[in-house]
Amino acid sequence: MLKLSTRILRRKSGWSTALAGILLLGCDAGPQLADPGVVTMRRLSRGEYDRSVRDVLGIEDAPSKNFPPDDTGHGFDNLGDVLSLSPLHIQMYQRAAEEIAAEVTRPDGAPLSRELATSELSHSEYVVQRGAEIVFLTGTSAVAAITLPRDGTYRIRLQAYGEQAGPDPVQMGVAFDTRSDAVVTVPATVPTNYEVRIADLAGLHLLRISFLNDFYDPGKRLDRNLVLRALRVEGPLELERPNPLRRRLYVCTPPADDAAGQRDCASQILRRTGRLLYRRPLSSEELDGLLALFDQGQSEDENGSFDAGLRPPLEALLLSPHFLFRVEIDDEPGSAKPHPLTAHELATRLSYFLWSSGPDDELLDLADRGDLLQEETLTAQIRRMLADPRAAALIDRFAAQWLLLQQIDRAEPDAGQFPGFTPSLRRSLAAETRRFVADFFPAAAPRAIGQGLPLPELLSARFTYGNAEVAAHYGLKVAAGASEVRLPLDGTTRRGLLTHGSLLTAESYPTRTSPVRRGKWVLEQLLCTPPPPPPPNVIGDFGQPGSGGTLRQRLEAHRQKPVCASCHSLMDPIGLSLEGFDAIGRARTTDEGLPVDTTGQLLDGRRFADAAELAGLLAEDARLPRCAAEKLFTYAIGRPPGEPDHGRLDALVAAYEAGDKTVYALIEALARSEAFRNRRAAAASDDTTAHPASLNLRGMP
Amino acid sequence: MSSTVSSRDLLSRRAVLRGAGVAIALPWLESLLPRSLRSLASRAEAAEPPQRLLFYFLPNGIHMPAWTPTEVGADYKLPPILQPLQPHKDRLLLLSGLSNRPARPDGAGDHAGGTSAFLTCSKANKSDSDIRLGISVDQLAAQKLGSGRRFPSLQLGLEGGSSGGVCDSGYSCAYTTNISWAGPRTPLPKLSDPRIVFDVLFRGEDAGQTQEQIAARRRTRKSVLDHVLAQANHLNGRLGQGDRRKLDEYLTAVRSVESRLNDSGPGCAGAKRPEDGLRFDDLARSMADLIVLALSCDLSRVVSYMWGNGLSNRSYAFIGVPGAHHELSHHQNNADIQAKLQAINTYEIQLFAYLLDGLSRTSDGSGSLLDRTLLCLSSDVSDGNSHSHDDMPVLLAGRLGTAIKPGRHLRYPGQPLANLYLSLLAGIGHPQPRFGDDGTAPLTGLDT
Repeated sequence: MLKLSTRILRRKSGWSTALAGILLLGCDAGPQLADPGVVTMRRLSRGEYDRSVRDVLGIEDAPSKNFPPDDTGHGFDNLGDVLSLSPLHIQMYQRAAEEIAAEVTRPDGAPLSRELATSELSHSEYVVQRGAEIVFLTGTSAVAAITLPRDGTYRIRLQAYGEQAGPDPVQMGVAFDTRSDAVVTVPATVPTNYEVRIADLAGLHLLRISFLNDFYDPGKRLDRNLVLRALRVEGPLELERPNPLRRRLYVCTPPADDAAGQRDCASQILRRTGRLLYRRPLSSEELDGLLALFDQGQSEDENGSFDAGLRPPLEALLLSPHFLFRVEIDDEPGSAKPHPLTAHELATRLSYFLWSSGPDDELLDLADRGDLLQEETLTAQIRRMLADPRAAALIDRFAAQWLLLQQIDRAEPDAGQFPGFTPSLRRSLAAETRRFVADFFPAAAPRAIGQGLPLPELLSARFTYGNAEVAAHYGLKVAAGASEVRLPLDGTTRRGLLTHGSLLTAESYPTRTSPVRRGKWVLEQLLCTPPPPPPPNVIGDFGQPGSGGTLRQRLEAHRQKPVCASCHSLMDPIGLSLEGFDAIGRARTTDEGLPVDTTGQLLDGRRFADAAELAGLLAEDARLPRCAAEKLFTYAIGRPPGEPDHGRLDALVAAYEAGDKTVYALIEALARSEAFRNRRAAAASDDTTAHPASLNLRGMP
Repeated sequence: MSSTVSSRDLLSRRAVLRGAGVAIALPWLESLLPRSLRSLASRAEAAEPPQRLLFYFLPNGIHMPAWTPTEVGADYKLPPILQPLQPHKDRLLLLSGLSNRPARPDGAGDHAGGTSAFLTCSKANKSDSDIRLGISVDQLAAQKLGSGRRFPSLQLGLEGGSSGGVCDSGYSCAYTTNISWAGPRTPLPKLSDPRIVFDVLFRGEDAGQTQEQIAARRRTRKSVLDHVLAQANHLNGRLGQGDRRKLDEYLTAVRSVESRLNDSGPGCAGAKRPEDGLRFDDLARSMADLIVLALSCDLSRVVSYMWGNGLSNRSYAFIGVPGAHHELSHHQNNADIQAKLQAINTYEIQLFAYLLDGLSRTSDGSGSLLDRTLLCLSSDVSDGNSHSHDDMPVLLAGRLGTAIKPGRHLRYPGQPLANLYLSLLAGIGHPQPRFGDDGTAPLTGLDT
């Protein structure tokens, strides 16, 4: 059934994409699609897994923190070729799935809620079973073993009544192990609920129910007996709390004592949750398989509970290849012919690009109807999604990996030399950069900015955001408190991201600055023109302090060697202009007692006096938007752009120039592009070359 | 779907399956072996089980002048870096002169090439995403030693993944963060947080469950795994070639977990969950303790361990050597920096000695754990400044039963490191005709 429906959608999608092409371009709309390149099926990365289960099930505590780390390629952790899967992964996925399933099905209330059938109680022949009830004929006890999961107070609910006789009502004793009884008076003559609270330690206990005041007068034919009908243990009460996750998951209320009704409810829950986790409707076979697991889970549970039934199918959903991978089907796996993604596959690509998470109901509804394949609907959805808070993933995953923002967490400035670099300062500097970069992305940008600031300002901005600690670190005389405020940078040589303390620290060595690393960061991350690697045996530390002269002088000596000059003349001028900031990003005018010279010249002859002027030149560099486009392409599509993608990058940059020079414009153009919306299977010939050669932009102007 | 599948694919898939603990008999392989090897194999099998192998990776090379003994044979003196091993001297076998030529990169990238070739002796495909290498020696060893173990092999380390960013000169980070490879395209990630290692190794069923409840849990677990396996099998025919390779990884992994469902869990007392937020030195000791525990409880018999990732820039300020390790390793023959490197190396060996202490103190019934274990320590390069893959620092410890005769320093100038691995594989009764790109025959003289 699934197969049939995707086929229908595919036919429909092919038609509408072609039509959209005619409408959009007015030419070149033949049925032949351009080669979209080969994208290997992508396993969810850790960040994607967490966001997916958060958005579908409400799990907030990042289950992936225990998963093995994801490997990266081309700077990103979401490339199918590099995301491998080992038995350890499955083990961790299995564990996470079980914990998540237990958490979302946990009833409102306490960890333990156990019904004990009266037949589970052990007793002497003076207690007799009568249907569902047991009758205590003489003053005796019945016991049952029960395991308390935690220390605490437990509620024991008893449904009981008395066959009353003699002067006193029936008295019932309830206790764990050999402790003294809690006495319950049972005056009722029909089944009535009673409750006892007992505190005890976690572990195995014997729950003892006793009949305390037997009365028998054969002469008057009077006989007092205790009758117990039902028994339930709940607790610890200290841990009782409502479970909003369960309310969110249970779209229906499972009817008590109605097996068919329960199965129907399970089916509703699984159909809805499965659709969100698989990012497409479930086939009837798939649903049947899940319901079989429900049946088994329910029958294996000693109480036959609905919740226990639901856990195995939920675990299966979370362990399924349809959840763990972003599956894109090739109907003809042997053919390398390009074909459009199905509407659901497109919804999935969109949501993982913009949200690092699965599509929501709205997106899936549009995919179910095939509407998402229409140009206007797609564009409207892209805009909706970019305005959604979930689009903050573009900052925390895309921008963080693009600009290496996590490096600051691993920087190890030498404590002896930089005692001021405290854990608190590290956090403040990281927060500054996170907050600043957010201005260039749509979701988290303030309303006034809307689609985000123009990208060049990432380098040239005359402001940043910081708390009092950042302001003091930068020597700014501004009133700031514990949270970030906008800090004007006028009157300083700080401008934009390049002069952020986080970056300057992360691209330094523990004991000194590294103009080479700082310059390399600009070339690799911002301009996508990595310097060629150094020739063997000459890489080295020419920068050890104390070896005479400033770092600039030592580097200049290094550049005298022709073999070194070719690269260092690219990196060093950029890095040296940042020498006005020390290894933890404080402004300085001297280095080892000698004045710092921040002037320089780019290869094309443009001169600058300091970091601020350099930032201005780099901000206007044509390589910046092109590089951003290349990084976004890799992140969104799951492969680096190759030679055939030059024109695609050109088109993205053109959309950027035509818009407000925002990342937003690049994202929108990319999500609408045919490379994003089509795919093809790998041909046999792709296996040796595997991918178009990585784009070499070194020759770019 | 392409109907032709190359023999290389078949082989690697098979290797993957077996490395992950699924036993497939390959009788033809043994028959291809020369007689000398078969006799080695049968000798090992006659020895008492169990044998264990532990591969230990140090990043950024070694300061070789303070590592290599001047004397050869049994009467060698421990050079400065190896001084912390004095109490274990008669359990050490130092090998010098071995080369790992497949580690040589295309152009730059010696750390990626060296780290990835440490256990594979295979040349890495230079690419940021098209990763191709070869099966690693520990995974071959796991085919023999891993069967029936809760963990056919364990991958541990002290540095996590790269989580974004670039690694070495156009090589994917997979090459510098993993040393165990189940197959040419399947690196096996490592665990680097001792608390998570503890949970994975020792967390059993929920306390207080009855045998019946545990059995019921196993039955539903099996049904869940069967369900997703069936899904994956159904999906297989609808995917292109590259995607099917990913699905194969999934199938292999699920089957491997399923095959261990009935393990009763470790009957291992005395394990204590490490604390959070340990300083590096405590972290390293804590991980060594866990390794000893995992081996002594026989949870696994094959471990690979990365002290750091390739290119590690860890600062050793806490032993008085601030500065980034990789940066320092380019010492440019500066004596001050070489002294710092020597201090780092000596510290590294101190912690290696701590692991040996633990293994030698722990009894496995007939003797100490160390007697029947072999530890094999090396690095991605020889000297960090020259990036050489010749004259690699190689240190063995333990006896592996009778396969290794320690207490010596032996020279094997120019011989491939891969040949050492062939000897170890023969020593555990799993001889191979070839290994990696250049392993053709076992080293001779290790056991006599």
